[in-house]
Amino acid sequence: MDSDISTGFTTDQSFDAFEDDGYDDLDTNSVVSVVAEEPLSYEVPYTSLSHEQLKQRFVSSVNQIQNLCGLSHEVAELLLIHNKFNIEWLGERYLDNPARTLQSIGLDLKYADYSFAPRLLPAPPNFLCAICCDDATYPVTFALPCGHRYCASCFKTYLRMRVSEGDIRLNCCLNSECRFPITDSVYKLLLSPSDYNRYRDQLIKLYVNCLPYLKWCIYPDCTYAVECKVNQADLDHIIPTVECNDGHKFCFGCSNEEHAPCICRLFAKWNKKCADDSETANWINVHTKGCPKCQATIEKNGGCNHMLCRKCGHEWCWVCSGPWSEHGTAYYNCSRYDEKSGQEARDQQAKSKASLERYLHYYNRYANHLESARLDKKLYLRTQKKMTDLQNSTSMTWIEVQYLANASDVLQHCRRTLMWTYAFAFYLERNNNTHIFENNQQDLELAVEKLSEMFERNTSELATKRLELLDMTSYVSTRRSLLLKDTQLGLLEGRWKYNLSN
Amino acid sequence: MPNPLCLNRLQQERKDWRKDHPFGFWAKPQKNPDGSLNLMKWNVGIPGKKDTKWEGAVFPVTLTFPEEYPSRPPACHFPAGFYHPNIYPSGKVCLSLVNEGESWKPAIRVKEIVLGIQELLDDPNPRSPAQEKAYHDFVRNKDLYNKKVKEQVKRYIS
Repeated sequence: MDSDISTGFTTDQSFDAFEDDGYDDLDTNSVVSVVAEEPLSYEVPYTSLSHEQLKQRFVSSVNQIQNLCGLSHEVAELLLIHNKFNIEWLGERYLDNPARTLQSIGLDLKYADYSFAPRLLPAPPNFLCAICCDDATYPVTFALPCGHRYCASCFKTYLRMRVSEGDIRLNCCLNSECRFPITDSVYKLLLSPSDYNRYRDQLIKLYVNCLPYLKWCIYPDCTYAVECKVNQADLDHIIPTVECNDGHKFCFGCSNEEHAPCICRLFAKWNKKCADDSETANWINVHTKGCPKCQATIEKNGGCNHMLCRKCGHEWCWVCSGPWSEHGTAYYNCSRYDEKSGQEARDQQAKSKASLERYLHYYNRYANHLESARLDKKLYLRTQKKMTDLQNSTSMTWIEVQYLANASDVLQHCRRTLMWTYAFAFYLERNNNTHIFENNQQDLELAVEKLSEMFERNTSELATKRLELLDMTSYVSTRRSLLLKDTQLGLLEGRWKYNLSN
Repeated sequence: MPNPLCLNRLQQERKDWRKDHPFGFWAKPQKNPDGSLNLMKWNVGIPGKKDTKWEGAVFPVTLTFPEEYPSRPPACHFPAGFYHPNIYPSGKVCLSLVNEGESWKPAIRVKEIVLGIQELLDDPNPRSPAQEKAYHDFVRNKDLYNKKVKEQVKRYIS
């Protein structure tokens, strides 16, 4: 291992899972921490919440309002839903004017601590349900305290439909003029257990969607939510990467994949640019030239070198880009490549091409890491096989071969970071700070490629080079950490200057 | 086959309408090719309100009841191209009373629907425009709007 690599080591507070694995007597320089105990400067505080925890939070917010305003649990819940779960605002609003606040959900002041024990009743004599107008004998009917009685099945059908369509904010009595709200106990009575659970789940969904500091994990079918108190206004100098308890990393700021060290704004800009023109730009780059006079893009799909621009009428030579007037009859041979006039025209073209090439430079590297990250995923699956092989062919235990899984994780993570360093660098102005950023980027890239290479070795070699791989893994992690730390510091200091004209 | 719940209710609506309905309105279910009644689709006539520029004509509207009626509201259509800020180019009425997820309630009767539509004619809701032409005229050029409404009324005087 060369000296350059050891500069990245922090041997103090070193701690990892391998310290007590029989290698204690080895050079301490080579056993390095992978997991930092203290929060890093580029990380934001956040909590991952399970469905169960969300439910508890929801209930405790309801309790808070219930106690603060002296309401029944059901009424407090309804008010909270209706006021987008904003406890502070609702509390103030209620204490300020209880009657009007209750009115907003269709309740009279006398119902503030109303606790409803809803019951189904047999149909009274001469009852005709105004909803279904069925004059058969009714087994059961239902009415809210407002007294508008309909058959229970009409109530059920309506509620089930509202819940299945996600209309759960405020449902009320079926009478066209009555606004008496349907509370939790009524849902519970009238809906089937599975529909009722669905209703409760939708409430939790609404709860998370309404609160700006809660967000669902962006991965499909993941049920975790994350709490993170980051201001939308701070996203220019904070990149709130969070991880749910299922190990999914994403950006809390813009609900997209993890994209540190690129800030959300540039992440969006870059994605748009890539979606807009990467492929087109590639094609244009390869197949066309700009007219030396008006820069119109011209594709030569056959014929001789004598070009006539359809836009400005300029006649020029495809080979040397000089004016055609100097070429005479040399339709298929250009002997004037080095003449001055052609040189100037080519300079002009080169200029307009340069910005395109600059973009392609960054894009290709970005895309390369994207592709490598994909390949690394395959590698990860192979790793698992290698780990089993190692366990079988050597005396290593399961816990001892975990270093391969760890190395693979680090590799993937760093590739992702590298990807976004290129998108970030694309928007940076050329200056000394950018130069430093690119040095850090280069260091990380070199380290990542080295680790990737080590990973490709066969099983027996992996076993003997275990320490080397461990060292490299931690070195790569450290390099990533350094890069992110410095970028974060730069963001806070306003050190990075952007060139957004691209 | 439409569900019996929905047909029961529509039969009752029909009975109630025949017993009593607002003055100047008419409503009847369409006929199937075999001459039987199609309760799922009604033709109704809505008169312009007295003392408004809509007075004098009766406007034809079709009510199409969905299978899930009365849990879901009927779709209400004027003839396509009807000139009014809250009526889509297709003729569909945009009115919260008959919009699902807005004010629709299963207990709302046909009578209330047609009265609601009549009310909408002279009292458009500029906060939910459904067609560009009538909306722009209504907010920018009231004279032109009134003129066009009157022209339209003339076309519907029977």
